[in-house]
Amino acid sequence: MIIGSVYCCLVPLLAIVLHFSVGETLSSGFTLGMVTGIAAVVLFFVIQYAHALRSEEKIRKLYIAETDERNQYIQNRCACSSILIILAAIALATLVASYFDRTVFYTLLTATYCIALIIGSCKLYYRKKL
Amino acid sequence: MKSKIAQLRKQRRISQEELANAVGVTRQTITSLEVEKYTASLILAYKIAKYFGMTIEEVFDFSEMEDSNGKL
Repeated sequence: MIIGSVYCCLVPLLAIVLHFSVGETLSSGFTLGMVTGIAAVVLFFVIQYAHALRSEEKIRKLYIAETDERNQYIQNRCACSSILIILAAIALATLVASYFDRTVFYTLLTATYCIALIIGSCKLYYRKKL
Repeated sequence: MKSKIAQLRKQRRISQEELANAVGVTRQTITSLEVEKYTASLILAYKIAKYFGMTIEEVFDFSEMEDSNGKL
């Protein structure tokens, strides 16, 4: 929670300084937007946990929600389905991009291979681990 | 998987929330178990059975997994 609070205060500030010192470029704007977005999510969790820390009952409810086996099962199923849909979508986009733009094609092709490699590595890791 | 959770709960006048808190899951998990949308893990099945003072086989119905000779 401390790390989250520090992140919420410092990193967006640094991004704002960077944005205005470098000038309004696409990359500084994107960095600012991304960092602010992450800070908003972190802030949400910081507030949620700070709120929960005030009462034993709220901590217990939060703990149950976090460790609930159905929620974990849903998360696992969601992650598995999502990554396969993403992989298929990027593969399709790669195919389409091959007719229009060489740079986009190679970028998407690299992304497809990277995702496939990560899926394969994770499968190998969990086969050995479990 | 069929279970007697709803029946046992009603007999003992226990709410889903109370059972969920006792076994450390959310109320939605108990609902899913009762409507047979979700199958409990071995640990959860054990906790629920223990809560009702019964065995896992008494709470959960494994007959669907057995053939006509009673084999799995």
